Amino acid sequence: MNSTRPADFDGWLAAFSQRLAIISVELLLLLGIIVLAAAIALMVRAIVPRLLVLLRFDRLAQRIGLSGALHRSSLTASPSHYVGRFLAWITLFVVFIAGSASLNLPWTQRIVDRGLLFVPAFVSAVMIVVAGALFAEFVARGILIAAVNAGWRAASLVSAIARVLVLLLTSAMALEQIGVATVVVAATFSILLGGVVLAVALAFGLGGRDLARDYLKRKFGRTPDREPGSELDHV
Amino acid sequence: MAGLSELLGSTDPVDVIVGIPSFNNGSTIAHVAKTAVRGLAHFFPDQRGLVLNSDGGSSDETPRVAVEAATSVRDELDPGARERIAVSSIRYRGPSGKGSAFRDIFEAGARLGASAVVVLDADLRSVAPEWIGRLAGPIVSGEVDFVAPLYRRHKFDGTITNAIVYPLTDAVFGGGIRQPIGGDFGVSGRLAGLYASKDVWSSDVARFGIDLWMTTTALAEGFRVAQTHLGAKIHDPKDPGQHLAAMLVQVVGTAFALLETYEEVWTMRVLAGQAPTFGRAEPVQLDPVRVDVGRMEEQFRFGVQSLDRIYTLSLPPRLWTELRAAAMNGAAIHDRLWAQIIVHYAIAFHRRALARDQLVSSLTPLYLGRTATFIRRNAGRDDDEAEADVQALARVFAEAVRELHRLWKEEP
Repeated sequence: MNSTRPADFDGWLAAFSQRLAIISVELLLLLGIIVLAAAIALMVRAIVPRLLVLLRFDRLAQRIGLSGALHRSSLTASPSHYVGRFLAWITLFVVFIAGSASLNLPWTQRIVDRGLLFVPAFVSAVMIVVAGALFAEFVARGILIAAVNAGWRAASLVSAIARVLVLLLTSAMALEQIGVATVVVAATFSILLGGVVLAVALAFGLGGRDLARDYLKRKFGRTPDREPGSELDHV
Repeated sequence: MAGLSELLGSTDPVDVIVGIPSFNNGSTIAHVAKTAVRGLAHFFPDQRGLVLNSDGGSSDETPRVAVEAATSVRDELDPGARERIAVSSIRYRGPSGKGSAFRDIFEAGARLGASAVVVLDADLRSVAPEWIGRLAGPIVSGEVDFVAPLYRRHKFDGTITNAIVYPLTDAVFGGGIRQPIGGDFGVSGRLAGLYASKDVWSSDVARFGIDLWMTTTALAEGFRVAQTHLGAKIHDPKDPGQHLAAMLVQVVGTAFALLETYEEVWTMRVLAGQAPTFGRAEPVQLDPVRVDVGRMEEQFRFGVQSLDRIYTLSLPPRLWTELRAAAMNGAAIHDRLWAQIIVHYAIAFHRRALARDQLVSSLTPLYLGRTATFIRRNAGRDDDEAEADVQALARVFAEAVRELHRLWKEEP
């Protein structure tokens, strides 16, 4: 019995084998790129924190309030640790994208196009979040100290509200930067901000009537309230 | 109004200058200007004098009032006095503030060859001709270069001076200048020239902190310093709108900043010798001071409860624990605890542990707690006993400053 195979099957098999070989090589190359990217990222993760410690970055972070902002977010490691992690992930991503681009394949090209578009926006968004956290910390601390010195019993609440407002604003800006449902974010932010302002107004009007009265009395009354110890000539 | 250059171009050399910085002091400056002329005429009859008002652009004709008042008194004196004593007013350069006004007075002193320059606040009501003699006399005679005032004050007044500025300045720089931020000083022409030449006149020194800067500069740069009794200082009531925290930021912030300016000096542990004191303290009747100590203590407790995040950044854990215990148990801020708080605040300021204004401002509740402690402890004591308490604190600061030396150049 003669076993005959259709000629087009042999052709298909040959084409399949060739294709499989090419894809295998591509996958191996891609795997190599991933391994290389991971190795470089691991090096970055190991070296950057040490370098930042040498440059006293943690001290700077404490001074500008970054450490405080991290602690409040339950991130208890040092700021240089998190910067190292962040840069390692960015490195992994960038090396992977760059390596994929060098393969010049249609499907990797799509990843490259999307990835290259996303990286700058993502980095900008992270920077906005970090700057926002720092600014929120600075504003909240300044308000807390001033309110405590003025004897406001609601000092901590006022300070916390200020922090949340600044964080809300910067988070909305960051989300918009990475293009996450910009219309929804804007609408949500407006609703949240409006709600917070209304809540503050109600809290001040109902809960803080005494505070408002005291404030207005101090501001416009004939006999301003004195700070404790203001009868003294301090200097 | 003329500026400094016009003054220098039209005035002959002088021996003693009495400078009066002003801004809208039209209601009080006449008395000070007249007293300055009388003081020059009486105590320096053989010297050429200049009464110089350095004004910041008053809208109430302060310069005109000052010049007319001084001129009228001078013209009543003998013809010799009219020849010897000049009167002038200038509009000072630079940012608005007492420091800028002083800068032009010092430069005038140096450029006109004065041997002594006296500066008096424009709102003084208790100033007497003797003040000119006491502030300028030891300088004209060549004994010293800098004379600080020593006023009789109520035992509860001058609490920032008593609790922070005096003990800290004395412990770090020496000299024992009891009122380093008194406001009225005498300086030699040489020292006035040095002040004018310093590159500080676009900084905060031009706006506030000039008094402590002058005292510290004289001490740190090795000039011969002294202090002189002047009696009571009575002046216009302070601006009720100026808050305590703002005052602390200005005064204590200046004191801490000066530690950095002169770190090369004090870290060498070379202290100025004890300054001689001229004159004697005469008994004066002082107005009573009413203080609500309970509110101060309440504000102290509230501050410690609310600002824990700040205090854990500016104070070491053991000090923070001790402070919190004192606040919660209604205990006093005793001398050692207070001196250590100030030392660690100076370190936190130096290391920029927080934004500097925020850091010093957060000291306000602790300062109120310490002031309450001082008032309770000295309520039944006389002035001399209260003064002994201040001196005891100064000795404790001298001990605590060892820690400042240790921590200053150490990494956090």
